Amino acid sequence: MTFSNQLLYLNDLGVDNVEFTQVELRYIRMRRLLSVIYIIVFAVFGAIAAWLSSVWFEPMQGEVTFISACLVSLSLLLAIYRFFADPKKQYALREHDLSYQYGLFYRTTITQPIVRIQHVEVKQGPIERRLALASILAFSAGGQMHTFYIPGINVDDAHRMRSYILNHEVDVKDAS
Amino acid sequence: MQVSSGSFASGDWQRISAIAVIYFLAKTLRHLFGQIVFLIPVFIFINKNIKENPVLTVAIIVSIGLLLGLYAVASFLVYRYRLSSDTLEIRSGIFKKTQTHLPFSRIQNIRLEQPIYYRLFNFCCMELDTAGSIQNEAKLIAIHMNQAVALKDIILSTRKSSSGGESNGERQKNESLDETIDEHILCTRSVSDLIIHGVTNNRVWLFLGAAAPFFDTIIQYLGISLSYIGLDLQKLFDVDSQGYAVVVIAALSLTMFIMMILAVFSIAGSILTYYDYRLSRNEDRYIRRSGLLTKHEVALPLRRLQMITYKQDWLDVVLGRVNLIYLQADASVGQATAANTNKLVVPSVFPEQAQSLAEDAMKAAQLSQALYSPIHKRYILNKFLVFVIPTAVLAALIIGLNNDSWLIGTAALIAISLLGSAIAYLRWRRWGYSMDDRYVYIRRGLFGIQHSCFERHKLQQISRKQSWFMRRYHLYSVKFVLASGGIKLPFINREEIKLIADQSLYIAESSGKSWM
Repeated sequence: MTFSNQLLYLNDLGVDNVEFTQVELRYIRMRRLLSVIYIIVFAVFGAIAAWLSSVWFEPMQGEVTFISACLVSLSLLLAIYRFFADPKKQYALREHDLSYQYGLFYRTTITQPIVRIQHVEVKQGPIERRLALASILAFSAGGQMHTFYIPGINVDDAHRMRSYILNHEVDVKDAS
Repeated sequence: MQVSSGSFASGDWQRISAIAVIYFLAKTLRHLFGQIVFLIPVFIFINKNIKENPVLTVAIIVSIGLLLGLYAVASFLVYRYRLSSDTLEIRSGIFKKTQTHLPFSRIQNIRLEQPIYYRLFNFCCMELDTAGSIQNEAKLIAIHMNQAVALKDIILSTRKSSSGGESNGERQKNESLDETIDEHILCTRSVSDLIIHGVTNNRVWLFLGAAAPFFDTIIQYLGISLSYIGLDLQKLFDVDSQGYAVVVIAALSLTMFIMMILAVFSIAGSILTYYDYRLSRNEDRYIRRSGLLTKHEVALPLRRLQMITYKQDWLDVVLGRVNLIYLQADASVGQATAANTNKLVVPSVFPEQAQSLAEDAMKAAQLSQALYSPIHKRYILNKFLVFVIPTAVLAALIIGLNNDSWLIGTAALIAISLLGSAIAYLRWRRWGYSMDDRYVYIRRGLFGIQHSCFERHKLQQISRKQSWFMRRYHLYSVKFVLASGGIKLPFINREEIKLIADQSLYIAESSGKSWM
């Protein structure tokens, strides 16, 4: 490891200078649609609960209405946050590491060296399966709290990334 | 007495020694006592019935005792193990049957534990960890010490030969939890050291853990002794009859009294856990042996060492003592493990000892001698704006409105802001970092001080975080993730992060060295 080598690496390949790819637009739209559905569900259930309490249980009507209103406004806040925060989610795959950046007020960038990945999972929920989306999960010895996670990637890209990571592991083992 | 591998690697399912019944009984009892908090209301509820029907009560207690005994015997009867030349299998469980299959080559860590009731016949309990999840742990519940030591050697040598290392020579075994010949002792702790450790560090929880079965008796005894010296708490704290001065003095002395009791408990906890403390090194393994009632043996293979922390609470700073903590890779990171098996603590040593111990484990590590650079001053401003001001305003509003006086409110605002700023400043003064080609050092604390050190190539992951405020000044908070957990370093500027984070990442990715 020579000094010039390090400088070259730092100038060209520092995490700041990486070009990130935004998560799929389909993923952002899916989450926006889901947020709207949450608001509607909470609003409908809240209204039903408030109406029921007014019919059957007068003394609690104020509390029930208050809790319903809280839930609706919380889901509204969450929807607004997601609307602006989701487009900030982006990732980068370099030769030797994966990075994922997220957050609106607090921007976090996590970098996971591929040599330290112990196993990889490609995960799809029912809606994601419809939209050909997937999340990639990379587990390291850092423990469950530090599982590396990128949501909202094309399912084909996710599988390609997975096999790239797995093959990378073999390369390193051969080299050592 | 030497036991050859052939004598117990017969390939048949075997029973453990009958002494294990005591172990199972103790385990169930400990579990029951752990739940006793939830049973207290039941006892209060049926208290009257107990007094009215003494015969029935005795009958119920006896039958519960019999049931527990039967359960212990049944647990013992269904517990079987089988040893072949390279695997250990364990079958256990009455209602929920489990079968564990453990190839020797996958065993990462071996721990021997000797509860007090095993000591007479020199039995012990052997715990085997794998690198996998916590469910993969296996426990050989009662095995004779000679067998345990022999089995341990077989497992270790299997692992060595499978990884291509040199084979294990013939070793001489002692008949208890003692050092083998090729170990040398690095550090021992006397009872007076442990007393200092108990005073400077809150070890009450250690005591609580060990003394849980005797809680009732202790509390009863405390109540009796309090009334014996004529303390009536209710009367003492009655402001109307006593006046403010007396109540304040009473409160102070009661606090002192409680602190004293806590200190005594803390010392007891320290001695219970660390009595007869010996830290020794055998080739590339550290072994800690200690314990008053239950003797523990914890091993730490050096390649699994992730971080060394040199920790001083404020009392340690005054007395010039240091706790040295070795953190090793642990499969159960993130889960609350009561045993804290990934930690190896050297309690209350002198700074020079700590330094030489740290150097023994991590060659050429500077730790307390390193030149630490401070973090950015905006840390203080940030803490002031984000934590101190909101807390102070909220508290001042509550206090002011309660007393209906804006003067008291303003005084509270100023006092809390000053206190908060002082704490933020002290925190900032403690934060610091340093690095060389191999290690990163991080210093932190408030009144106490903590130096941590880890090898850069053992990094698992790095994350950096910026608030909107920090982004404008190109500042970052970095979190280094190791196999033993994460460590944070706040408010580092862009040039510094290149050196400490990007370069560490480069070292981890390009060195080709394993993290364990």
